[in-house]
Amino acid sequence: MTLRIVVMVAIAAMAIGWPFLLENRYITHIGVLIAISITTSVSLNMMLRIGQLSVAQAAFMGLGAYTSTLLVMRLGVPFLLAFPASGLLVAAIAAAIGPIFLRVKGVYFVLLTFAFGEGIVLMFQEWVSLFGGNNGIHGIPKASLFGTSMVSLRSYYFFALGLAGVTLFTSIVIFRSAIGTVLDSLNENEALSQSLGVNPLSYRVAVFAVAGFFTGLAGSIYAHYTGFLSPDAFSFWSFVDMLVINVIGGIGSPFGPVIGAILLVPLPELLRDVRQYQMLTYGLLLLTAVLFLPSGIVGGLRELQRRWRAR
Amino acid sequence: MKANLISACGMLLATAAMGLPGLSSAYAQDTLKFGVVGPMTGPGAQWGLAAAGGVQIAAKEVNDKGGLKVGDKTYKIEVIPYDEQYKASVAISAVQRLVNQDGVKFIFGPVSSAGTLAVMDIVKDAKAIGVTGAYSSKALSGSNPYMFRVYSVASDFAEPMVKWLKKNLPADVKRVAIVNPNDETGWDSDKLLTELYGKHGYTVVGKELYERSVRDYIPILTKLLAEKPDLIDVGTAPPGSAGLIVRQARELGYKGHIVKIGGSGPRQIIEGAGKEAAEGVINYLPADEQNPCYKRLSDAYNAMSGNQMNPLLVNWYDGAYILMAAIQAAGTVSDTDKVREALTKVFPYKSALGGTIRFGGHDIYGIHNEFLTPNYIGIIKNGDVVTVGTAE
Amino acid sequence: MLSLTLQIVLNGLTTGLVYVLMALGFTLIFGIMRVVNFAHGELYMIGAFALTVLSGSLHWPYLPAILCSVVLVGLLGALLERVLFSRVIGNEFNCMILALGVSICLQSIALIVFGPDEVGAPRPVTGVVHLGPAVIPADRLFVGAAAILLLVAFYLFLNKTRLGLMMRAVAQDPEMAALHGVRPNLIHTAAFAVGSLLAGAAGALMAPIYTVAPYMGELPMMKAFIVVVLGGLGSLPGAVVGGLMLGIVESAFATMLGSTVAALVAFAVVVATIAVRPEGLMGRRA
Repeated sequence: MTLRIVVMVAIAAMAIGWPFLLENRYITHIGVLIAISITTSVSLNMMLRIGQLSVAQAAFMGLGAYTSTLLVMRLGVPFLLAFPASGLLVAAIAAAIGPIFLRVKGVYFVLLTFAFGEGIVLMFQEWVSLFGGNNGIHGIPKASLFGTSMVSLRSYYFFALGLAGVTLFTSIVIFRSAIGTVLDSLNENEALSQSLGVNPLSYRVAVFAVAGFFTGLAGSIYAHYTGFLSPDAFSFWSFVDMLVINVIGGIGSPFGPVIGAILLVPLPELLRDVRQYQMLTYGLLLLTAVLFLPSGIVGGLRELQRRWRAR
Repeated sequence: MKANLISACGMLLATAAMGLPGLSSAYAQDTLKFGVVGPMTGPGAQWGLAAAGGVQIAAKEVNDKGGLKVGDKTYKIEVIPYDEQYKASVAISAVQRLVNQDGVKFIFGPVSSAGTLAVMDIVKDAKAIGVTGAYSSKALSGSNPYMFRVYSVASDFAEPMVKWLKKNLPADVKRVAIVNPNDETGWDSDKLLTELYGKHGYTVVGKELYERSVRDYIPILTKLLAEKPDLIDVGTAPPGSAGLIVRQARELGYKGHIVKIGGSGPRQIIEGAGKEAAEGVINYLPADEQNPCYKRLSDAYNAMSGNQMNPLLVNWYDGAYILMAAIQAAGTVSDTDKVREALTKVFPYKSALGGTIRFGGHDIYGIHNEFLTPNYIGIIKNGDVVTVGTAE
Repeated sequence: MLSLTLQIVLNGLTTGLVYVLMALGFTLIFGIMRVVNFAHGELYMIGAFALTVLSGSLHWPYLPAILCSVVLVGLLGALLERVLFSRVIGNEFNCMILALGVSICLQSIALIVFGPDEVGAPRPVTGVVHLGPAVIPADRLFVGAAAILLLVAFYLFLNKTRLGLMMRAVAQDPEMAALHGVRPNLIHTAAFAVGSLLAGAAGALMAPIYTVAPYMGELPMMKAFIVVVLGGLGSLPGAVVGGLMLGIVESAFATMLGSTVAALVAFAVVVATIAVRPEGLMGRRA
């Protein structure tokens, strides 16, 4: 246990420390993308832990991004307020549709959230006066905290990293706590937990809302970081990215998506020179993971650890 | 289970190994890097490949002659093409990588309007020179002197073309329908064409915007044809889509004229529509295909890529030479402000095809940052394109 | 007005029939194997490319070219099931991810092999047919007729052949079917092959009508998905009715209000359907 804490502190120190040692704008840019990806993927992981694959996560990220952008640009709301508002709005939407959506399970939930997500993206495309249509919105102001504008890449990196850390921490706390035990028992035996007087639906809705909250916040950072929003960034394929990160990293643990994001987000950048093989690599990794490493890298490492101890 | 562990370790190793070459930024002293950002896959790939092809052919010609002499140094030109997939988010990553990782100061592209609008600030902050292919009027502005446009756009050639139609088509052609994709490029074109056709005595009886992923245009054409147009303008539709629109309109029994003022690609229209349906389509052309130099470029492109050349390649080819001339005149490959100044002085520039490229745009954008390339009008006849006039 | 209505219905029926082909294969695979086949659109794309290569590049006559393309995609489906899906069958989640992986792989392989350009396939028939005040392109009429022929063949296969009857038995009650000595492995492979074959047929039929490109499968996949949800996952009659309905409704909306409105309405109906009646409009209650 102590070893584990040491390792975690070391990793955290590395995540915070490297930008001071290695000053490279491009790598910092990738770092920001990884941190945003960790947030969205860990959120998706929360849904996977309750046994529901939510395709709507990408659209949630879009809702957060557009909310924050429109609040700042149209209404002149300071970023300090727009940022939490974007998370809260998405959480509210999730809480509102959750009681209806989460009653269906498995494949049906996947299809339901898929259609919902596509509908949201179509709304971004079609409601031109509000969302800017396919042209998107450009010239989104940089995020500013307490009157100082976050101009440097590094400040975005730390901001996104902080959010990723909080998301990860929340996920760990939820699933370690008593709530987590209830949620796990839901997966195993819903009838039993119902008979114990637990309302499974409200627990699921709560997780859906929390996952939506963090995804919305990630969307807000994304918007102010890139300075440009268009509907295509929140399509089905960005959900696929989050899912692949989870599957490769490992679904069973909140650390799975963290490892997945660190390994996979830089991949398209590294494979840029052979761009037609980029997608193929993605697909092959996915196939390999499902067939040979069903619990992802974290699952593989755990197995390794177990064997080491058993010797 | 053992196999699982091995594959896990293998994957980690592979990822690490792939990381190494990507992260080391080798900088060779005598290399001058040109980035190209355009859609190389998906609809619109024709336009991105034309950009990359034009710059690559020009670079190869210069390198074969020993390189580009700037001041007392000679540089080999290296072209780095990135795919923007017609997506703004991808364009941002590509430009970030070019300016921050690859150390590129000169970027051709992005080709798409959305991509260009998304990266304008990055280009300006990095003091890089951007030569965009965006049709959007917002791509050039007085507040961003680092962004140039490589060719004339619809606002330059649409009016001469409409005038040409008025003069050369029968007088009973009155009712016009306009089809465009539903995004920045399409909206601009829709607005411009509506205004111009109206101004020159035509009646616009129908307008439609469609999503770029759509392949079945029969519903919107059914609606448009109910208004009995004499002329359909397919605006800035990508050539592949335009071919399908032409064919489906003909199959619904449409007998009138079809015009494409914007986004050229007559060969893809013939490919998509078939020889019979494409007969008589009037196209805006950025180059005269009968010119002998066109043939030379077309052969060079074919040898390089195995594909057929899009006429827009000529503009990018000229654009690459214009930028190189400016770099030589400025005598520096690092001080982009000097290059920017020099760029304004290399015009009028003689196109490889013989026409004159001027510099302009001040009246519209508040800044002289557009390469005004000559424009032509071509008609599809018997599966081939015949140049019938100029749109000046 | 009457002619416009007729035109809308005709347009809708011809596209609807292709949706039916896509949806039938999709729903068959789900009904029997519980696999949400995200790669269905790519099978459509491969059918289209196969026809383009055979009849375009190799100059085969149309009939052998289309038969060969369809069989090819069917065999590819059988291979995918044997090599990949049979390993994870029974786990809905892993099946979905695997299908997604297959979809990405097939699309990128097509991109590497054929390049990004949209290409055209030779047309077996050209011209238009006049039906009263409405016109219908002859090649679409041809596709419609071919689709109906395929549907009839599929119906006969399910109801008159031993394999077809076994498939229906497995779809209705896997355990009971196993008790009666039906080998699920064989049925799974057959179902995946037949489902793929239908998708390949849709692609091969549509290739001469639209242009052919690696990403062309995404839209028909989306339509199949909408149809199948409306008709009920796993319900064959539901796929037929749902497909024709979607074709006509979409045609009407797209003509009157624009194609995006049509798509938005479709998604809204899907969300409402699953939320209220997950088994679909015509599906059985599980």
